[in-house]
Amino acid sequence: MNLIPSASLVKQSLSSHSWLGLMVGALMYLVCLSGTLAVFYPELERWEQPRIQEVKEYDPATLERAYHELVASGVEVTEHMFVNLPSPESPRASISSEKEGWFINPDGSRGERVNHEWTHLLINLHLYLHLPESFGMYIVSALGAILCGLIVSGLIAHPRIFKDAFVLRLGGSKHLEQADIHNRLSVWSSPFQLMIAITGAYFGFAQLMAMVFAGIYTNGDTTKLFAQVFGEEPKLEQKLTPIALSKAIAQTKAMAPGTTPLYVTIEEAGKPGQFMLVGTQLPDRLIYVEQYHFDTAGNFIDKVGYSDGPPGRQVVYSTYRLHFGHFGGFGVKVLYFILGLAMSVVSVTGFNVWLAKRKRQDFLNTVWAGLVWGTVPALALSAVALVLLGIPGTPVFWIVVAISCAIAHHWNDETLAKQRLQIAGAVTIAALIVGYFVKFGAAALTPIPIGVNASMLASAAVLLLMGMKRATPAVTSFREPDPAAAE
Amino acid sequence: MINTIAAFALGIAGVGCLYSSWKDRLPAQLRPTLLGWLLLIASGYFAIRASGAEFGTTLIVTAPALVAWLLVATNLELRQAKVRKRKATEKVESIETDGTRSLSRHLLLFVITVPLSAAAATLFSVALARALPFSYVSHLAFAILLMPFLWGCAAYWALADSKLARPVVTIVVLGLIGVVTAGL
Repeated sequence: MNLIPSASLVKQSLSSHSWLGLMVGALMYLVCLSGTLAVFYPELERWEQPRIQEVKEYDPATLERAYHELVASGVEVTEHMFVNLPSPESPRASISSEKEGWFINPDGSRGERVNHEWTHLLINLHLYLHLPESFGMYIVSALGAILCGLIVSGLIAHPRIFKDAFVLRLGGSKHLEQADIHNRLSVWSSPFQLMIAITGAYFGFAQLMAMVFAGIYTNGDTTKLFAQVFGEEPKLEQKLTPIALSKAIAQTKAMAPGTTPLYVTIEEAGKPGQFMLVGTQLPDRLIYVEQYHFDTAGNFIDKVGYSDGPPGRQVVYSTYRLHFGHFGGFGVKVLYFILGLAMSVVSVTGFNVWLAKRKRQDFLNTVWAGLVWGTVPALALSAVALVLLGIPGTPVFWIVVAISCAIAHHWNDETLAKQRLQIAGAVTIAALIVGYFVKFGAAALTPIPIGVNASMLASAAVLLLMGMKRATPAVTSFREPDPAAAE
Repeated sequence: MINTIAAFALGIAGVGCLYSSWKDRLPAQLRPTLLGWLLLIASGYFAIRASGAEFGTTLIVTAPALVAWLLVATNLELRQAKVRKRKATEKVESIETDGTRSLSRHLLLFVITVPLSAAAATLFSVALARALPFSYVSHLAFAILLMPFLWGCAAYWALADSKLARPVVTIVVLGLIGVVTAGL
């Protein structure tokens, strides 16, 4: 059996691959880059607020008292109230309503307001591209589906997949160089990319699919369908007493030894139907948590059954950790970071291959360089705005991206634009680090800020070296496409 | 710990065998390609023993890429840049195209690859999921995970086929099959 696709199939697949890639390239790059950084969002949240007192052990009774004091202080109690418990990944406790939140000091007193705005900017870029949430989620999920098409078309359009499996030719024609980088990175990481594409698409399409299934099984009642998938909520009518948070946590630990309780959600807060939902993470499982329901007095009601319920429920609840790499420790995060960075490079080099194959240069070359390399200073300046100055970061991000594209076009030389924006990226990251030390002083010298700042400094150094590299003129390859690179 | 070390060692050895088979240009019967794949499977077995079925499987399909890229880096070939100086704005070739016709074709392709393929993939994956002997919670999970893959494949085919009508008709028919068999 001949597994090598015919020349015409390769050509048609390549054409399909190019069309799909051009349609989504720019958005795919933004989603991949922000997702790559968002792998470290627990660390970035801690970096944003380095003065919070962190604990390895906590007393649930102290948190319970803190919750009651917070409610008694007149804070608006919303339908859902959230108590985040300290965990090895995020060793800080907080209590939040749907509108605001505060960290809780180890002695139970109220600490700083929860304020992770830059991390949220990053996550919102990844999840919604800063568009209105439901619309943005559909767009980003559609990117996941198109990525599936790109993976399939890319593999079929690659007749030398085995012959070139370990080939990397840099410095020759731009077309060949970019094609080699694109192909080597994408082929070897294609299982990872497929997994990210499918789990990423899940977040937007779950709601859509639920509506279709509700039409079939529950007469269009999605609430009833969700109850089947995510477990039924308890229906309680009870006398309102102060919630027994510590009793619920203690019982969860007893019922699920070896697990790590991550949060308690108080649902229907302040109403007779109020109940607690404790989420506890299981070792060696991809499901985010198993959940246990308790009434206000801390009496156990039931277990939702994510860990041992129907396989479909377990699969659905495993997509989050699988997508974000939040399992198996810090090493897996680093693995996801590297693979995510590779996906970002694949997005960029794919577009570059198409640019290099064209026999002309126009605004697309320069604007593309502006978008790709302007995103770095845009992210750094949005962090300066939010973390150091406390001003809105989303407009800063998009204004800097727009200026980068405009100025790159004005310079009329993609190589020059790329190098200058790389240097701008390095300078803005360095300014962010300096500003961070000035603002936070000694708190900047704790392990997480040191780790994040050192990583940023390293990336600034790499950008500076890339930017200072001797420039070669920006040209498009005029040669006929190299047969070796016709992949 | 032994399982972890074995998983790492076998994974590295497996990719190494694939590299060796690729680099040495040996006669087909002497290439350690099969051995490479077998070692990777063995690495997966030990990864599952070390980290459980879920973590182990995930790691074994993602981590070998790092080893492969290291080997790609050792095989780096630096070439002399072949460049010709010219102004960035220089127009090399002016391509006369019928802009309106081109735009309408791209719009048509967009409609086929995005809304049409999405709708058909949704309906067909629901129908396919319902045909499987699972609970309906599992039908839902199966359909959600299958749908983006079907959508991607439909979009690819619609763009790759020289006769556009062929994929379009198939996509529409599959969507209709979905409507009928899903009982919508």
